Amino acid sequence: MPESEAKTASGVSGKSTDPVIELRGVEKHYQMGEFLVKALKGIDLKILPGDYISILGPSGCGKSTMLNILGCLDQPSVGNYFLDGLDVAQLTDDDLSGVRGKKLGFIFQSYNLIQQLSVVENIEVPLYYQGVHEDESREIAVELAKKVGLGKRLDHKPTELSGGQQQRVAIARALSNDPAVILADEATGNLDSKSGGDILGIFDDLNADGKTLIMITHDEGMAKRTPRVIRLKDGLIEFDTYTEITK
Amino acid sequence: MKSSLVREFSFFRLKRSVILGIKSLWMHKLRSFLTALGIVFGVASVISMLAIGEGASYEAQEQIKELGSQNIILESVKPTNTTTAGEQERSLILEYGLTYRDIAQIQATVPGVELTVPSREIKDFLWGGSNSVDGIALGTVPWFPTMKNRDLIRGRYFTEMEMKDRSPVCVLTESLARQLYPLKEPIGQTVRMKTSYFRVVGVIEDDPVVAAAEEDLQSSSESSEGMEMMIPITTLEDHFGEVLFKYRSGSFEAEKVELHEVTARIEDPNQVMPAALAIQHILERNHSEVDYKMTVPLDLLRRAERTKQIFNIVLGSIAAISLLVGGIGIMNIMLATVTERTREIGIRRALGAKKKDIVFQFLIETVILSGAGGVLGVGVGLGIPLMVTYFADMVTIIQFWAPTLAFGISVTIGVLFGIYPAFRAADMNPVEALRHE
Ligand SMILES: Nc1ncnc2c1ncn2[C@@H]1O[C@H](COP(=O)(O)OP(=O)(O)OP(=O)(O)O)[C@@H](O)[C@H]1O
Ligand SMILES: [Mg+2]
Repeated sequence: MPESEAKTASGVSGKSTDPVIELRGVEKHYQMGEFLVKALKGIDLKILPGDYISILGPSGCGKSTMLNILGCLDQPSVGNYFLDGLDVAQLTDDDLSGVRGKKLGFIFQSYNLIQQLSVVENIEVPLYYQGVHEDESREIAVELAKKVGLGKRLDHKPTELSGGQQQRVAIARALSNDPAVILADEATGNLDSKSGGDILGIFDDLNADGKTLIMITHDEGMAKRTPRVIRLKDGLIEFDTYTEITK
Repeated sequence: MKSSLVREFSFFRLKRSVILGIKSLWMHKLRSFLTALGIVFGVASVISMLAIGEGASYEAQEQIKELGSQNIILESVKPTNTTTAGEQERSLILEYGLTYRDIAQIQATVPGVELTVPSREIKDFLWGGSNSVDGIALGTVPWFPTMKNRDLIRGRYFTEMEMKDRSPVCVLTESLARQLYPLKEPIGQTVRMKTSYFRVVGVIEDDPVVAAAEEDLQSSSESSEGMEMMIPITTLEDHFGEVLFKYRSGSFEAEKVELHEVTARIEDPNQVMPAALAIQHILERNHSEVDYKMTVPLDLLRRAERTKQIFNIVLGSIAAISLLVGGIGIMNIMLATVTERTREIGIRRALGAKKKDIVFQFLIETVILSGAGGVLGVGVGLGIPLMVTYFADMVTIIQFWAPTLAFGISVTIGVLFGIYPAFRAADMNPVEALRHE
């Protein structure tokens, strides 16, 4: 049934732009001892290709939970998630790994680089899991490192880099498989305003190149740079530029 | 074309995984080394224990084979029984041991007895030219060398004619010949014992059992043991009579021993044990006290084989346990590693790693660890037997399959004990893994 729904959904709205991401009544529950914590309480959301979105909201409102679901790292407790018209609930664990590796790029607040690998090797990780050949993957990684301004740091270990530099490695890594959607969870949260600004500049360029970009932020000023803003509160969408406009 | 691409791809993947595994292990050099050490000792103990055990049993079997597996060896033994003390006082001559009657009965009643080699020995000084040595005159038969597997080095053994004629001829053992005629050709020379002279006709190799025993003992100072002069048993009787006089600790002792040693050869190897039983019955009937000793090399050989089996089982279990302990050590460390690297696992999963990729990564790491331990262990395991041979002068035998087997086991242990930690790593929830500090 969800599959047919998916088809009709894309069939109906699919004239010019099908949403790359669609959430329908998504809830996420956590069992904490005797209590059921509802981190998300019913999210409906459509994201179109090329969207540039800031997600705002107070701490604990469910931003990261929603982004993890969007990133196929987690599954909704209730509701459906369609990625490129495909019901994610129907996918196997291996399929999900494939989706994460090919269609999605992650950038985390704490960089999450692999400590024993160098800058290039970190950038190559997603390519390795897609079976890209050694020479080709090295070429891509070096090019991306140059693009984020780390051309001279190729063989450095993460511990030898500043926070801003590490985050740029993480961005290069997120881009290595040329994903359609990039998800960033407080990517600038640990950085000063200068390096944070640099990172946002890279994001602007990526969006200009046609990538869909979704980022969580606490900074209203940064949210102003993105055409679309979503505000969450207590597991629900409080404000969404898109729905405001379509109203 | 496509299949070659796939092959290249998986090879590339394996290579990358191995490099990655080495990098991760290298991050904790000491820990990895200590973990591998468990396997090193396990593998080394398997190889060296097998080599030492194999060598020891080989040595024992060789010694027993020298005695002849178809032979039954009977020896006269002076009874230790003190109840005969009264009798002894009455008759001054102590009479004991194997008799010609025993031999005649054995030959007549035990089926399949091919030959018997009776022999008698007299201990006294042997003189050759101006040299003398404390030695033994051994009265025996012409077929003695064949049955005892003793090679002639020079000249010939005495013949049946010479035995019949009671000729004064003799054959010297190699060491005796060297003592008496160190510079001269011994053949053709004479050797004297008491007042009798014997002409040397040949030189025979030393008794290998005695030679081996001698090496173990301190020195060859009072070794009349290897200093044997073999003469026809008939000649011996003629020259030295039946009674033996010895001067010992202030008093004369007279002994009468008809035969000191008899070797019976059984034609059919399968009949050796029954024949031994039959001979035992005859001797028990003829002798009121146990003044003889029976040695059955085949029986010894079988016992040695049984001992070797037990030895191998015990050594095998010890080695297996040490490998098991090594394996548990590896598993323990890998579980700790998986916990420690939970975040890395989460990152990899977020970046597109499938569960099997994670399993593979950790399994490869375990196999590298145990394989490296195995290689080191083979090295140490080949070294220990060499040292044992060099310092303890023991025979060690490394069978070609032992290092292969031990290495194979170490890798297998890596896989077996790596599977659980690897699956635990792969089964982690990506979100939780990423949240892990
Ligand atoms: N694994 C979990 N188990 C139980 N409760 C959880 C779990 N993950 C999240 N929660 C709860 O869900 C709610 C939303 O958490 P989430 O991490 O999405 O907040 P957030 O909006 O990202 O906050 P922040 O801005 O501080 O990062 C919180 O109340 C949190 O306690
Ligand atoms: Mg968060």
